[in-house]
Amino acid sequence: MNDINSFLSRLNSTINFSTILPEIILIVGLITIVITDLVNKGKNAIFLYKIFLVSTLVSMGILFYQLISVIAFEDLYTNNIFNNLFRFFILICSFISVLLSVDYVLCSKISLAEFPLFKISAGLGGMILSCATDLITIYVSLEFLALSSCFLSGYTKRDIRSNEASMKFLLMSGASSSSLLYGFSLLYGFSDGQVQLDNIIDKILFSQYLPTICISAAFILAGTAFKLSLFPFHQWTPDVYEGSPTPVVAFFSVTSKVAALSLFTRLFRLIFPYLSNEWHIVVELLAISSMILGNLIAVTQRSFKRMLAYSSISQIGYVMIGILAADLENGYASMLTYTFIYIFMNLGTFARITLFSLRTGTDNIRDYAGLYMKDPVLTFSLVLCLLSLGGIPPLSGFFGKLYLFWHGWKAGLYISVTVALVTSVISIYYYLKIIKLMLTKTTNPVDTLKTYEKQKSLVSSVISTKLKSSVEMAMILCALASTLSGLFMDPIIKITRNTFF
Amino acid sequence: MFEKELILSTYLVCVGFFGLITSRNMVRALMSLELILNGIILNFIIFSNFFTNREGGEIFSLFIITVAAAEAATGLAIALSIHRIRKSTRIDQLNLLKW
Repeated sequence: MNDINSFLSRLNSTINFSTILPEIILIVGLITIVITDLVNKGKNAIFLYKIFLVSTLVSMGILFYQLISVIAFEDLYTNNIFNNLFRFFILICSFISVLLSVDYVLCSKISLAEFPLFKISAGLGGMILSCATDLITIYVSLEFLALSSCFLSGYTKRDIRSNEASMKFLLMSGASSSSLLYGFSLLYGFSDGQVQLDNIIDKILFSQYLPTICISAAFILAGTAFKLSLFPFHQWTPDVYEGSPTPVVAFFSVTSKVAALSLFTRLFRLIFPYLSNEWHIVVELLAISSMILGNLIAVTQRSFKRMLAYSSISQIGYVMIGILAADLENGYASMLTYTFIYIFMNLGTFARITLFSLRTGTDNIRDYAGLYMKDPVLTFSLVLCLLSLGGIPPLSGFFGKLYLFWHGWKAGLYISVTVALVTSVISIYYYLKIIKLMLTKTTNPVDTLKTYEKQKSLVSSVISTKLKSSVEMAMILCALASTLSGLFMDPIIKITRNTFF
Repeated sequence: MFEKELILSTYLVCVGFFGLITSRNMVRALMSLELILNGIILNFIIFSNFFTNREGGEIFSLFIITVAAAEAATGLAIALSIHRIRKSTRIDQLNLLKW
């Protein structure tokens, strides 16, 4: 008994439980979901989703409170603000993506209980990755996120495309995280056996093995650029996005990118600051090629999800400019602001695609023709989100891009910002193409109209009206956020400013 | 210092990458992925031999072994799911998602 008391007191002094309280709440939610499903034996599955939403909301509330208190004290724990902001982003992503996936999972008649389980575990992996400070935690949480996303993308087992997407995702993600791990092993070796990131920096700063440190930087870049889907490592993105079920694509298109952004920034800022000339050039090249490639190929796509995959490749190219342009007074404000806006734009678009594919079962862009006649709410909100993605004022995508490119220009990245501006204009073309298709009448309106009505009656008989509104709630939330957060960008910038470390 | 050991582990990683890229069978690709991770574990152990406190590298190796097992389980579950539908596990038949 004495041993337990002393052990617990030592534990309390070393680990501050209040800092990982959001993750603990998510774990408690996870265990509750598993136990509830076992007890209920598969009935009443909506309750599981409510548990998930409640636990995510509580976790967000606590994290928000911690964020506010840290900022209010004006402590110099800038590292903390950066990590907590990313954890908050990932919680928002999980929350909204589960809101928009409830209908889809109910309709497709696959097992319901494991879906929120995998989503919680992927969200947990992302949150721990955002505040990890040693190599072991980074690797394990990265693999946690990747394997949960892998299971999620293969969720519809009967669909062969989903299985194919999942296999491709697993093999490629395994190869790239092994590349990251090889870089970590070189770092571990040449820093006298240190595993914590802070200790590694001290040891390798004046090391004589500079070429090997550069090699390890190259391997780490390859590993993280896969998750971010930068140019030569982007091959998995269109296939996985097209094959996986749509709400799953919504989830890991934002969550794994946000988590990978925090990992990338932290690794390259902390460990390789004196190599910053070298990796700046390489990342600039990667960003330029991603922007060009993503936007040019997205013009030719016929499937909506694939087009969104290529457009997300180019969006990450823009965000890379924000990482390169970080300086002392503004920190990573431009990258964080654009990530925040990007989450809502992307999730909003995917919410509407989910609703549309529930009603018509198709993913082709041509089938969106004349949508204005059948469903003006869906059309209008999709127009808002697509225009925000393209960067049209006064929506928030414009303000995010403006801030990003202005910072890039001030930091001297003239080529990148010019290429980004040109490719933004190209991207407006393919967003406007869809909007024009939706808003104009079609030549043969009969066929698609008939299938639209038929599916709608099938769907509304299966789901109760209470749940039908959850996708719409997600839709409206994202539409509002992607329109208004541009106008209210000043407080967001003020919060994200103090993040240079 | 210990170039021969590092060359050995790098060789294992390269063989694993080659197997991953050129294998037609899914299970064989998963085996090559395991080989890559084993090469990296060897790298960690080599480095940890050199230092006085060996815990960092050896604990990290235990974590990598666990994660590799989880990844292999995931891969085999997906391969099983593909096999149920297609009755084969050839990778080059995964050609539905293109361009």
